[in-house]
Amino acid sequence: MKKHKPLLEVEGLNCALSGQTILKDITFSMDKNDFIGIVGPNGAGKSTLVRILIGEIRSYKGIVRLNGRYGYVPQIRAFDRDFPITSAEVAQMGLYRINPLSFWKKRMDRRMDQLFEKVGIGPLRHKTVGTLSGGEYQRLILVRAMLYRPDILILDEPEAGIDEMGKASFYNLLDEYRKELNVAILMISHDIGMIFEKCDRILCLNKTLHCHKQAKQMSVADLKEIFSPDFDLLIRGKDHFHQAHQ
Amino acid sequence: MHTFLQELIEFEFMRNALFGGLLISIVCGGFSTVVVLRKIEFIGDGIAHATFGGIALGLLLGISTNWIALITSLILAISISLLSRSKKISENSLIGMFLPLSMALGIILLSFVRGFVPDVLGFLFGNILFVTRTDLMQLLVALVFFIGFFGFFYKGILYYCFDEQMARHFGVPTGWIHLLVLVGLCLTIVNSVKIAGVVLIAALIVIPGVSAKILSRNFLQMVLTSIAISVVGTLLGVITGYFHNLPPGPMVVTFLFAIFLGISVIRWIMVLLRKMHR
Repeated sequence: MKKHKPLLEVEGLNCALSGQTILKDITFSMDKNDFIGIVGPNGAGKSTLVRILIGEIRSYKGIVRLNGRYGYVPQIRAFDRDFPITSAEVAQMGLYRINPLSFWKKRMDRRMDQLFEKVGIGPLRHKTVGTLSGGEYQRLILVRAMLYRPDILILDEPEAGIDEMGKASFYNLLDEYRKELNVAILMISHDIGMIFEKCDRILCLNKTLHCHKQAKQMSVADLKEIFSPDFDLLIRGKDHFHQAHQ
Repeated sequence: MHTFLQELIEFEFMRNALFGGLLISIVCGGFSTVVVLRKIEFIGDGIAHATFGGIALGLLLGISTNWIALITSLILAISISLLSRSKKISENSLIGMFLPLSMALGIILLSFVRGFVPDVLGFLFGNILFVTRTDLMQLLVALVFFIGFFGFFYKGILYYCFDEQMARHFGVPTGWIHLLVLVGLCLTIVNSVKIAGVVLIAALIVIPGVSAKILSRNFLQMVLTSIAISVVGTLLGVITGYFHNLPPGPMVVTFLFAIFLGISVIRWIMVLLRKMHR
């Protein structure tokens, strides 16, 4: 019988940068259509894990096996809003590896048009990126990642710099995508409410994996273990923190 | 005007000056877009000053000043680029150290040159009479390099300028593009120093790009506009310099700045009018 091959396998992953342990003994796997959220405090090694998965960091020990193509949606960084580049040109960056000289332009353009329409920024295709809002830019970055037809989407804090409405519709869009195109999603997020609502499984990371459970089975105690004691402050406010700890 | 055309036909140095100005303006205008978008204006300045050290070394050794200047400027540009990537010292700090060093070494080396020493001010502020046929050939090489580089790597250059980290992620050979940008800048600046001079060349590789950026909505538009602005400013400077017996290098810089000022004012008025109509 043919052995089942997960889409992503991470086994005994250890990583130390400049002599400091960043990740210790991380093991998990992902299958098609999974939606996994990674939570953890600042400095927990979340971004390092993503950088290992996308091949930016190679100095690690353990096994990282990706059996398919991935698309990467990074954190939105500040960029020159007067830069003369159109949304379409930014999206086409996603095809550079397979099409550096822009061959098969018509076929690629058709696919890009569909994706622009799908994420709701169709009319902005020929606008310069500086005119896009944070939410529109995030959708554009999603189009760039999807153009390569990935099997797994890796997102690093996609909610950073977007307003609440923008966040909600972006998460809905991701969920739709996953169901429609059978894409697996691995997402780092600080938006714990959303992680509970949308993700199937949650990885609690703080250098090592403290828990790895179905979202429905997660408890506040699990989260407290990695965020403690700030987590009380985060979910219940300042007053509760004073009552409980002073 | 009639005398100008007559002299243009009659004297080779006049033809060289005008043709040289045209070639320099095209190449400088093209590379100016990368310099401005990638925010490496100071590297251009550093290369120009390294050129001076190279010219002095060439004069001392009695060999081709252009080749030595090209080699010294390439060494400086690549050293700055590699050292700044280690992130221990910033690119600007390195340029701030190397720029006066290459000028200082240039002046020291010139003091050792025996016999005829060309006018130092000519190197600093440019002298169009310096342009020879060999220079024109080298400028043509720089132009071919520019066309080939932009033609082949057009999208790669755009992404390298916009977001180097993500460009690398998507397979853009950013290391090669960065190296070729430095080579192109060295080729351009070494051959442009004769017209614009070490001190003024920065204007030719910054102003066209800055002005074009204000007007452009995409990269191709910016490259073409930058070249057009550079050509107009350079030709106006050279021709006006001829008619009024003024130094062409400073005239070119003045015209380029006037164009930038004009574009900025028009843009400012348009933004103001748009706001008033809302």
